[in-house]
Amino acid sequence: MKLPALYALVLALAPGGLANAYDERLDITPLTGEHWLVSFDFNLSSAVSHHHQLFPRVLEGVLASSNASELHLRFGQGYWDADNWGLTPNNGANVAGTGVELWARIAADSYPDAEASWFSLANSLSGMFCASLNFIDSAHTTSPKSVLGAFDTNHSLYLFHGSLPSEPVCTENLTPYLKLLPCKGAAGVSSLLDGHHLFESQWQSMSIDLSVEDGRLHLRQSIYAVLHVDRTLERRINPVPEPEPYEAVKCDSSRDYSNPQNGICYPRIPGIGEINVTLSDLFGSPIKNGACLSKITSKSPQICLHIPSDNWSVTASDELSPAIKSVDQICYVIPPDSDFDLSIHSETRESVLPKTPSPILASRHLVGWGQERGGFHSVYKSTSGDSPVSFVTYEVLPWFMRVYLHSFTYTLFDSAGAEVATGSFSASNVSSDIAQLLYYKPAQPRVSPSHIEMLLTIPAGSKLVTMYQFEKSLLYYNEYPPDANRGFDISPAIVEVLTDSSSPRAVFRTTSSLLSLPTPDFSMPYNVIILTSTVIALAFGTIFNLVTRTFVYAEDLPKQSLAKKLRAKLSKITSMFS
Amino acid sequence: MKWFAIIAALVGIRFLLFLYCKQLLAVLENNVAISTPLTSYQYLLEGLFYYSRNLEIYNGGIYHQSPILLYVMNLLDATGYIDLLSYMLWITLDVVSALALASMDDFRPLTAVIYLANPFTIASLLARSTLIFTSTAILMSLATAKRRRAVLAMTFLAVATHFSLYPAALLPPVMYMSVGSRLSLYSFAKTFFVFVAATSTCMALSYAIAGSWHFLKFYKVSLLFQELKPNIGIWWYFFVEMFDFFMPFFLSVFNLHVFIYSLPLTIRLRHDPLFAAVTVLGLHAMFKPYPSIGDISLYLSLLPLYSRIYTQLKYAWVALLALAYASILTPTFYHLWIVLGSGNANFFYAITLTYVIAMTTIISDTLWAVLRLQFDDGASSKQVIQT
Repeated sequence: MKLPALYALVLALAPGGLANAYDERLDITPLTGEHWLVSFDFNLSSAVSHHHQLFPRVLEGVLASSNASELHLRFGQGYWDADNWGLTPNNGANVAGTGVELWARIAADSYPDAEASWFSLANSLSGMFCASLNFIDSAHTTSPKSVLGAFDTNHSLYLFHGSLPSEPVCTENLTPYLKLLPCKGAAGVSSLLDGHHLFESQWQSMSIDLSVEDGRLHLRQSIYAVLHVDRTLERRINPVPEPEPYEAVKCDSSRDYSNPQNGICYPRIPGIGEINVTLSDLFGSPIKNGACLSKITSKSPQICLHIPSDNWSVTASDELSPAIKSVDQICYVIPPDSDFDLSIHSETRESVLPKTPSPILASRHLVGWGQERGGFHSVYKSTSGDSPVSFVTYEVLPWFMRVYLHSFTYTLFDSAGAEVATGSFSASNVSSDIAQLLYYKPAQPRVSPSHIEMLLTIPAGSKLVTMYQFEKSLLYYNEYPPDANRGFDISPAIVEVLTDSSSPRAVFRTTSSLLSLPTPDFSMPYNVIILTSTVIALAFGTIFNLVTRTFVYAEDLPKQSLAKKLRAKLSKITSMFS
Repeated sequence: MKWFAIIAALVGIRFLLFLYCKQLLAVLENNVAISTPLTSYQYLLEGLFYYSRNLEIYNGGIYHQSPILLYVMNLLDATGYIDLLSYMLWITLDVVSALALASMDDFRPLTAVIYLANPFTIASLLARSTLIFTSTAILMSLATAKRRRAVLAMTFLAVATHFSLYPAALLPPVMYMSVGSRLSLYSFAKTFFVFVAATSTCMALSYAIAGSWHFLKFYKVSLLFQELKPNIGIWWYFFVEMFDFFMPFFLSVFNLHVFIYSLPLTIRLRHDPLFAAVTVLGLHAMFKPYPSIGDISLYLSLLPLYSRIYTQLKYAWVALLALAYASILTPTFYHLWIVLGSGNANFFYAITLTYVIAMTTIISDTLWAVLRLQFDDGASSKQVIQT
């Protein structure tokens, strides 16, 4: 009897379900003619008590030492164009904002204990993922009150959140990330994940969600990327950019002056028309397979294309027939014993499936001039035409942004763009229908950040603009980074759209912001110490003289000529040697 | 009658500026030379925002002032006319200060007019700097001390100390003034007890308003110089550029330095302790952690009480021109550094040094003149020197 089969039998008979359950899949969804979303999903569930054939031992150690019951890690980069691409995949539940983000629910007897575990957790993950997570100190840590699952909190569990928006995400983070997978990225859909191709994308997000539930460890890893198909293909076909020969230029024949035969050609706007692409064109290699995957799971990996199947045709290598074929998707089960490639073809690539629109569109930007103060200006636009949308915003601002929350104002515009209402969180008006301050913790310099949570409600089809001022603090000269004039990154705001409790909340993040602070002259320490001390000594010396010395009339002093004085001095000196 | 009209006009100008020059008010409120983190009206409004929402006021945030101010502002806010009422409160305090000054000079109206017409006073008032609570209390304390009302003088000084800590350095001259030549251990103990009792009352009141002792942290902000916002003093750049290792040493030295002058000056000027107090106020206007032009105006307004020394001044013009030079270049260089980016922090720093030198010249020159008059009453035209 073959060993894997015997093993599978043992697993099936084990009490409490399978000791290990693993599945992985890849979804490809063209968002527009040129931007394709690729989503890799890896799910592992493992009994806590079991030996860890599949579950990464390092992660289990981290969980055990920090007493975390939940752990979420996000790496992200790029810009998700919600206007054209709609809501982020999976309602945004596994999607990262710019930089690195970590949050965890930690069991402890007291807050200080929980906080200590949190810092040690961040430190150990820092080494594990080659990221600067060790920079998450108390000045980067908050405890969310109404987002990131904080609403179903258990009292002995403490939720912590920290983010580092300036962290660049790159291959050194991807390699350890892939090492957590059962096949270490060597087989299955993860074999497509190559740093060069992934980090070339317009937007990408890597996530790890780890939780302990009912005695089982759940690990979900998701990688999303938006590939610019034309650019990816061009890089592959034509690595050294050079102009296309005239014959190869595709002309837009819908222009009435177009006459390619006579050399009048208006190049076609990219992203429409014909496309012919294979998986190996997009990722550099086909899906590799091997014994690894079949050993650990009975479920073969799946790859699905979400396309209107009338306009698109897909053929698999070895003429494999699709497992599922419907009007809006084509899925294949990847065979366990050979490499797998797909070729995707369409005459009208611009015909894609309708996207789930984001319930609101949010953007936040810094306004103002000079390095003394500035403002945060946020715009929230409702896309739903029929019902009001309520959402919670969660903002964490570094302590050197001294927020004037009393200056908060909002303005509501209706669908026609006319101003409907303005207001603020004034002291007398504790809650209003539109803007409500749920939680505010002012920053403590060098100790904790500002933490603001607001509940905002916009009527259908309206636009809400909020604004508040802040002051920029000067720092000690050694607190500035080496490139002080580049500015400081501010974490994205997290926006969670409230729904009735049954359905999951849509979550998304605004872009991060770059704040410039006033800077001192870094070459000055000695000069400043010397000059300031001189000025103080001048004042002190003058006053000391005035206060301690006595007044006399100049003429009452015995007159001495200069020669006499010198002679007296000289004799004093000579007497010293005699 | 003529003087009354002038004073009424000066008060009227304040109202007109408030009613019709809102933009000017906003500019002044945000000016670093006028509003410091410890006296800014914007910070007071932010504190009021915390207070009215029952947020923790002193656990972080930007409010570093007394809880009593919050209570007063909250009362004004409850009426719905906080802007107008607060401004009226500020003008009232300004007038009270002017009266207190005049009362020290036999109610000579010119003294009050000089105070009210001082552009520094007007700028500080229009910015609604909360320094006015401290300076009015100081002036009231000096005025009552001069009339030997020891209890009142000590109470006002305690209030001033409560608002901004550094007026505590005025304790020796004010105590000596209010007790006068009858200085004995008993009278000393009695006045000191009044000071302690009044301070404790302020603290108890603050505790009742703030609900915890956390409010004491606002003294820590100035003692440890926790807000690095630039101002016209010499602390900010010194501590921005200071090496970590020396930080505690220089913090102690700078704090000590603010307090060391008052006792020796009181002893030396025991014939005229008021002038010791004036000189200490002048030194505070440059050496305390967060000075503003409101401190300069307080010092300069007290000098007219000593009009008799003007003949003895040696560098009056130099000092006044240096002060004018610094006053014009302070906002200019700050703008070059912060807004235009065509200058750097050294520009503003240099001008604060100029300002300190100008103030040093005024202080030493007036001190010289007072001591010179004490020496021979200015009767002799012979040259006087110090040995």
